[in-house]
Amino acid sequence: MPPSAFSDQKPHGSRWRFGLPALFVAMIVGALLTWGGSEVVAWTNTEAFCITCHEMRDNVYAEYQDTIHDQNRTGVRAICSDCHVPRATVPKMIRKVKATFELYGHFTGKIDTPEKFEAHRYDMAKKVWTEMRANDSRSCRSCHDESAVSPYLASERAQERHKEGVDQGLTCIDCHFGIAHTEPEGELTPQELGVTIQK
Amino acid sequence: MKKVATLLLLFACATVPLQALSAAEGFNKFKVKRIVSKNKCFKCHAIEREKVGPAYVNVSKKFNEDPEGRQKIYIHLTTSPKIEVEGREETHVNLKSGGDGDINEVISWLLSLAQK
Repeated sequence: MPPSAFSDQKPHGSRWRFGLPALFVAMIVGALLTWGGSEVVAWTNTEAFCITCHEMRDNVYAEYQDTIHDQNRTGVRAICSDCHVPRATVPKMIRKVKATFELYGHFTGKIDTPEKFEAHRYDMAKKVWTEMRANDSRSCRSCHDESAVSPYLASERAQERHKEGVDQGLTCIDCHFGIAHTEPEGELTPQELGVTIQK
Repeated sequence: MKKVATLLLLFACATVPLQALSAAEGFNKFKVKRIVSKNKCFKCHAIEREKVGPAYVNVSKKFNEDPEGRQKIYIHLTTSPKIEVEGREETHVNLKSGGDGDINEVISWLLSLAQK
């Protein structure tokens, strides 16, 4: 529309000429940032990423190797993030934020020798046990479904123990601790930490 | 020459206690942990804490002073004995390993826990 002889305002058409491409570019940039962010989060969930820190590689990862979550009859594995990072988006992002604070420990050398790691092992284990107790072993249940345990394939002993555990109001970590990683020296079991299970 | 000889002598003296220690321990703890983990012992036992089975450190304290303790543990691990678990009778699982050498290493590790 040509500019009016009686007005010094810019014609309406130029607003669309600038605005639409800018909107389109913003959408592209937003999509790239979303996709990029998602890829970064996925990358930080990989086993290779976790063991770039030697504190993990030389201690808990070394212990985890050859355990049932690492090697078994069917080749189905549970890596670090399967147990230690929630799958749901909001809890996952909360965990990622907490993990950035763990970087502080890495850069200040809090557990950068086997001796220092052992000295802090119990505290670290208690943190994980507390979290797992509080969310009713959510990470275990992301793979292990109680209702899908076959009565024909599971041993009688396992079925009896699990039934007793359910009857006593226990959660997975109450019994299944010290299996993926070396049990820490210390007094309390996960059950004795005083954490209420939130079902 | 005298200095070198003195240093060598000091080094030899320093390694003797280490050699004695590893001989006295009689086990490779990484190998033992691997055997115990592969046999799923940690499903029922923890090292310091009670699970449905007794803590290994308590087992160690029970048999450490017993002159026949090693033999009793060996029998327990190789003959599928009946055990009582929470009022129920169950069969204890045998330790599957590379042979008596591995079993004895596991027993040595077990008995060493009481000494910590």
